[in-house]
Amino acid sequence: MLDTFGVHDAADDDAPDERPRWRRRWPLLIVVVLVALGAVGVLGTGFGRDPTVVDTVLMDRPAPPLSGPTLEGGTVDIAGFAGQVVVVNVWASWCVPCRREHPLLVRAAEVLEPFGVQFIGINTQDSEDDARAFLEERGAFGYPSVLDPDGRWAVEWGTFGVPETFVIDADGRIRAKKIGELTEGWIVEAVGPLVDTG
Amino acid sequence: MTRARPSATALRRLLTVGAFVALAVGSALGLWQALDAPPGTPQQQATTIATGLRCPTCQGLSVADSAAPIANSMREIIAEQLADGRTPDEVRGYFVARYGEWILLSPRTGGLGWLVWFLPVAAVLGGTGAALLQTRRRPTAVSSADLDHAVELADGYAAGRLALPQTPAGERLEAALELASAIADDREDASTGAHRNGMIRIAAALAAQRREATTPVMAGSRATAVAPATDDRAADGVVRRRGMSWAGGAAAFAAVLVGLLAFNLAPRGVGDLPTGNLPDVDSGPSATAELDALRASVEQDPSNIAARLDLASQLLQAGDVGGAQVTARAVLDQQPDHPDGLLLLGLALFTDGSAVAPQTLQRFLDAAPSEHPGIPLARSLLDPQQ
Repeated sequence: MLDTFGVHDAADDDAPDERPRWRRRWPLLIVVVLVALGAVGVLGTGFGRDPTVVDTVLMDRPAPPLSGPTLEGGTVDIAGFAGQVVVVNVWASWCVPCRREHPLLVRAAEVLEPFGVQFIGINTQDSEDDARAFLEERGAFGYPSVLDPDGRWAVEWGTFGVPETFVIDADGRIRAKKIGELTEGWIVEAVGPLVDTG
Repeated sequence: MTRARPSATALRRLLTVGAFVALAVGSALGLWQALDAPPGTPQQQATTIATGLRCPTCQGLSVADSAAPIANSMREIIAEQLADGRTPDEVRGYFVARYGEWILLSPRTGGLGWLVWFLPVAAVLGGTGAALLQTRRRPTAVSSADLDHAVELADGYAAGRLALPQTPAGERLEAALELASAIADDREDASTGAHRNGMIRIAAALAAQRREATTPVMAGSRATAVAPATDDRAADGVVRRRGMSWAGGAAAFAAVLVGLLAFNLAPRGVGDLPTGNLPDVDSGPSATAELDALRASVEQDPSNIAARLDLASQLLQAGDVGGAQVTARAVLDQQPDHPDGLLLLGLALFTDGSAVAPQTLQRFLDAAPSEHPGIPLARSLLDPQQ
């Protein structure tokens, strides 16, 4: 009867109360320390991260499909360039960095053509007339651009904006992605290791 | 001090338990409703999916809320895929495969996202467990010495020789004493077991009161319950020490956070935006280098109109209106009706607030071929109403 009410001898009972508070509270202390360490860990990595930078999940994965009518009047299918290194550039006539990187793309496509590198553009969220005017003003690309007026291909390729550039190796896997304006250095670094320049 | 007191406590307890049960049943019903919600029309489904997707080009907007072109095409893709018979999860999966889990506004119930869903539940369960442990532990503090003391107190209370402090523990003790005397009054029920139960209640209340560092003291015919000064100070000290350890912990945590912030912001110069560890955007130097390169090519070949136009355009973008005017005029010196030269000069004059800007822009409109991309801009500048 007494035991169901938890009544014990005085000797038993007084013993825990004699211990200092911190010794009775050590499980709580461990929990607090663990939570604090966890918070520090999360915040420590979080502070060092830019929340606006998102790694592409497409890296080293097979490239999405890309085909359809082109700005130049024909059709193109990326599947037709299997075994070749392909550079895909997403652009629009209204995009200022696209305007700036245009000469570099034209030159890179010319220089890399002998090494079997194929360039394909995706002219996204643009009107055909504006895009043609852009090419007339700045000069033709020298490679086809798939028309993407409603941005389907841009979503299919997981792009965030324009310009974006992908490099696909001979096995059809995405090996490099650049968000924003291209530099010569980036093209050399991204395409160089994939082609036999010897 | 009436016999209704214990039943009031029982009623309160019943109400508390009832409230918890109602809360639990309500939550369960709500959850069940949410999980078992009817799928709705395809349009409703599409809106639900779009609301849960992050617009790639926006800041903190869902695809459903954004007017960005890419959000528009994403909404079209969602509607199309639903029409093709794909499930909402499959449609979400399509976007996750292209943009990563980042595209989802609420984390998935898998992987690390699972942690986000589970932690609050774990915290509630842990807190409830801790609270239960705390209340269960109390009766163990009843000792046989307390039981002896309880018998003594009950006798004192029955004889009306006891005054109790107005603290929660004091009130609890009084309730227990009252119950015990009620049991003693009820002759038919005054069995040994019931009496002992009453004494155990009093002893438990006594132990609780001792935890408050207050002890009832019986002194002759006039019994009082006073807290010895030394105990008071001791209790005060414990409270202060505990408060200090919490404050110390909070201060240490804050110090670590400040340190992390300082460490991460340190590499930035004064006036730089705190945008995380972004690679430096060196548009300034490279823009200057570009300008220098253009100037060099213009000097090398003064007849190179394309380079001059590029230079004028860059100068205008860089805010050097005067330089842009000079360069554009140099183009027009060679080809008086060059559309790009007229447009750049007109834009530079317009930026400068010059009165001849409309004239120059009109000359551009006259000279430009109908498909020139600058025509809409020039027209809108000439006629702001348009």
